[in-house]
Amino acid sequence: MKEILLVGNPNAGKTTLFNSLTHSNEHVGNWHGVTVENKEKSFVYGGEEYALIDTPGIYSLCPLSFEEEVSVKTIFESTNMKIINICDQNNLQRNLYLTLCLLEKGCDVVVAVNEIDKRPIFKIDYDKLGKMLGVDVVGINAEKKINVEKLKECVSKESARKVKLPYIKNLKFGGNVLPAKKSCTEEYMLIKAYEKDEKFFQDVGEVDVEKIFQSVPKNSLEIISGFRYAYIDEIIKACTVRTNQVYGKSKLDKFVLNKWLAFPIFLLILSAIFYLTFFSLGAFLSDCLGSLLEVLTTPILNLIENSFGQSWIYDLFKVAIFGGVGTVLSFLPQVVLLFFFLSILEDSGYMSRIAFIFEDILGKIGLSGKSVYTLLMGFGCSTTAIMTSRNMDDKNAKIKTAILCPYMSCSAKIPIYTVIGGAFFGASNLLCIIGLYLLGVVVAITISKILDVTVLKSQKQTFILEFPPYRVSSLKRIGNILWKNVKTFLIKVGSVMISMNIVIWLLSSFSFSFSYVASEGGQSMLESFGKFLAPIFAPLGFDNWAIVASLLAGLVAKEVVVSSIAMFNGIDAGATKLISQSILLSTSAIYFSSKASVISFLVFCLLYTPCIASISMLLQEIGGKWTCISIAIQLLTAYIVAFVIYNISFAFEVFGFLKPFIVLFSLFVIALAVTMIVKKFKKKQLCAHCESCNLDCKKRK
Amino acid sequence: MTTLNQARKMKLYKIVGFSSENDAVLRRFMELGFTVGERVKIVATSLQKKVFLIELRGYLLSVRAGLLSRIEVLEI
Repeated sequence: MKEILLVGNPNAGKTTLFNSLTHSNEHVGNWHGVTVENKEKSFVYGGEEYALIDTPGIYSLCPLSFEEEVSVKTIFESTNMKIINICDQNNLQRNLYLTLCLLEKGCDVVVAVNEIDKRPIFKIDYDKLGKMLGVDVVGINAEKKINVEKLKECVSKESARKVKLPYIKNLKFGGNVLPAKKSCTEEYMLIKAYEKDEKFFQDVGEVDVEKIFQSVPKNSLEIISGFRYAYIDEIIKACTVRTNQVYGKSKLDKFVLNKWLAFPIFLLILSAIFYLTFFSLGAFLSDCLGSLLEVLTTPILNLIENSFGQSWIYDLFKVAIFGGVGTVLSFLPQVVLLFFFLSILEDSGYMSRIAFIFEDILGKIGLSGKSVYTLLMGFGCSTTAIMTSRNMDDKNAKIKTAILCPYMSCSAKIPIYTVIGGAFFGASNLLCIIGLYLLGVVVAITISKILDVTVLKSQKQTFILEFPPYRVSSLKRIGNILWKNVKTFLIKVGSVMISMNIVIWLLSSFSFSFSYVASEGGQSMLESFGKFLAPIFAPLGFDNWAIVASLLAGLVAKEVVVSSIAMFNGIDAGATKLISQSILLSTSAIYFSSKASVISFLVFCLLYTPCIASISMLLQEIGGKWTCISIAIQLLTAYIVAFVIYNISFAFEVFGFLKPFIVLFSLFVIALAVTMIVKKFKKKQLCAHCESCNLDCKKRK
Repeated sequence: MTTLNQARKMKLYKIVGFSSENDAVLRRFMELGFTVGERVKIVATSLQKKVFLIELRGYLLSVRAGLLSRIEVLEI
C-alpha cells in the first residue's frame, strides 16, 4: 500500500480534503489547530490502495508548537512518500512558503489549491504555476469534492521531475561543505544552516551546531526568508491576478472586536446558546423524546411483567435499563444541540476573534488566547478538549490548559443540572445553570493563577494567530455534525451506560451474601459501601449513601449520575419530571432536604474528577504525575468550593438575605483592601518601565 | 528606530530590519511574511493593547504586542 502525506498551513482545508478523499467524517473547523495528531485512512484509486495521512498544520519545516513537531517529524521520517500540499487559494503567498520548504527538502509534492470561496482573492493560472514550481498543481474544492479525482490521478503518477529552485545557488557557506546526512542532501543541510534550525542539526547528529551557524551570514534567517518570499512574489506576479481584498477582513469586526462591545457580544452569544440548548428548543425536543420513549417501552415492560411477574428480571429492565438509560437518552437533543452550536461557532471564524479578545485576560493567568479554543471545546466534551491543548507552544501552558479543561462544564453534566436543578429552581434554573458554567470558569481561572505563581510558571506565550474570514456552515456539514454526535451519544448510551447501570443495579440489589435485597431484605453491597463513605460528605449537606453511590458511578461517565438516581428512586424510562419530583420526597432513596444541599451537590458534580475517558486522555497528554496531581486538585477543589457554597446558601436559607449579605460584603471589602495594599507595595519594587516591558532586564524583580 | 509594538493604529509602515537573531519567534515571523521592505498596518488592538491585529501581505494576523519589539519599522 502506497502512503501519501497531507500537508499544509493551518486552516487550509487538509482535514476537509482528507474527509473527501477517504469518505470520512473527521472533525473540521474554521480556525487554527483543529487537527493536533496524525490521522490515517485508506482510499482506492485505479485498483490500488493508498494510505492517506492527515497531519496538523505547519508554516514551515521548523516547528514551534507540539502539534507542529508531529507533522515535521512525519515529513522527515517518510522519505519516499508522496505529499499532497494543500494551499488556501485566498492566502496563496504564505501557503507557497511551505511549498518551497517542501521542495527544498526534495519532497515529491503535488500542490492542491483549495478554492474555498466563490469570489477568491487570487485568480490562478494553474499550468503556469505548475511550471514555475516544477510540480503538478490542481485547483480543487475539498468540501464540494471538485477536481478530487484529478488530484488522485496526479498523486497516483510516478514523478520523475527534479525541482531546482533558482535562489538556492545564491546561498553561501563559509566553512567546509556540510556532508549529506540521513535523508538530507548537502544543499538542504546548507538551507537548514541558514534557517539556524538547532533542533534539526541535533536530530541528524551534528555536534558543533554553533560552528555551523558561524559559517553562514549573521542575518541568514533574513536572507533565506527574503529569497523565498522574493521568489513567491515573482510567482504571484506571473501566475495570478489578485483583487484588493484582505483575507479575513470584515466590517463585522468593527463591532466584534470593539473594546466596549466585544465582551457583551460574546456573553450574548453564549447566553443564546445556553437558552436554546437548555430551555425553549432543547427542553421541548427533550420532552418529546422522553414521551416517545415512554410510549415505546411501556408495552415491552408489560410483556416482561406478564412473562416473568414482578421478579428481579422485571426490575432489571424497569429500573436499570429503561429507567436509568432511558432517562439519559431523553437528553440526546440537548447534548446534540450544544455540539451543534459549538460547531457553528467553530465554522464561523469567531473563535479566532474570541482568542484575540481574551488574550489580555488569559495572559495574566499564564495562559494564551489559544487556550480559549480548548476551554470552549470543554463545554462540549472534556476528552477532546484535553487533546487540543497540544496547540500550546509552552509545556507548562499545555499542562495547565489540560488540567483546566474538566472545570469547563461538559455536555454530559446537562442531565444533572436539568433534572436536579429543575426540581428545586423551576423556571429560574437557567440562572442556576449559567451560574454553574460561570463558577467552572472562575475556578479554572483561580487554579490557573495559583499554578502559574507556584509550580507551573509559563514562559511568555508567542500567541501568533491568523484571522480566518467569517463563514457560514453548509447544510451538509450541519447534517454531518448532527449525525456524528447522535451516533457517539447512542454508542455511549448503548455500551458504557447500559453496562454501568447493570453493574450498579446488581451492586444495589444484591447483598455480599448474593441474596436479592428487594425480596429478602438486608443491606446491598452498594449501600454498605455508600454508608461507609457518606459521613465524608456530611459537611457538604448530602450524607445520603445513594447520593454518594451515584457520584462514584459518575466517575465512569457523568450521565450515569442521573441514570443511577433514576434507578435508586425506581423511575421508568424517560420520565425526567418524575425524577425531579422524586428527589423532593423524603421517602425516596435519593432525597434532597434543602436548596443549599442541592446547590452543593451540583457544584460538587461540576468540579469533581472527570470521567474515565478524560482521565486516560490526561494521562496520554500530560503524563501520570500531572494526571494524579490534577485528580487530587479536582477532588480538593470540588470539596472546598461545595463546602463554602453550601454554608453560604444555608446561611441565606436560615437567616434570610440581609444578615449573610452584610457579612459577605464586609469580607469582600476587606479582601479587596488587602489585595490593593499588597499590589501597591509590590508596584513600588518595579521600575516605571517594567509593566509594559518584555525583556528580562536586571531591573526586573 | 520605531519597533512595530510602538506603531500607531491604521498607519502604514515599512519593515526595515529585525532586532534579534537566531530566535524561533523571529523565524516564525519571517515564515509568516515579515520580510524587509514589506508593508504592515496595525488595524486593531485588544482592550489593554497587549495584542495587535496586523494586516500583512493581504491577510490578518493577531500577535502579542511584546513579540513585535523584534521588528523595526519606518512610517511611510
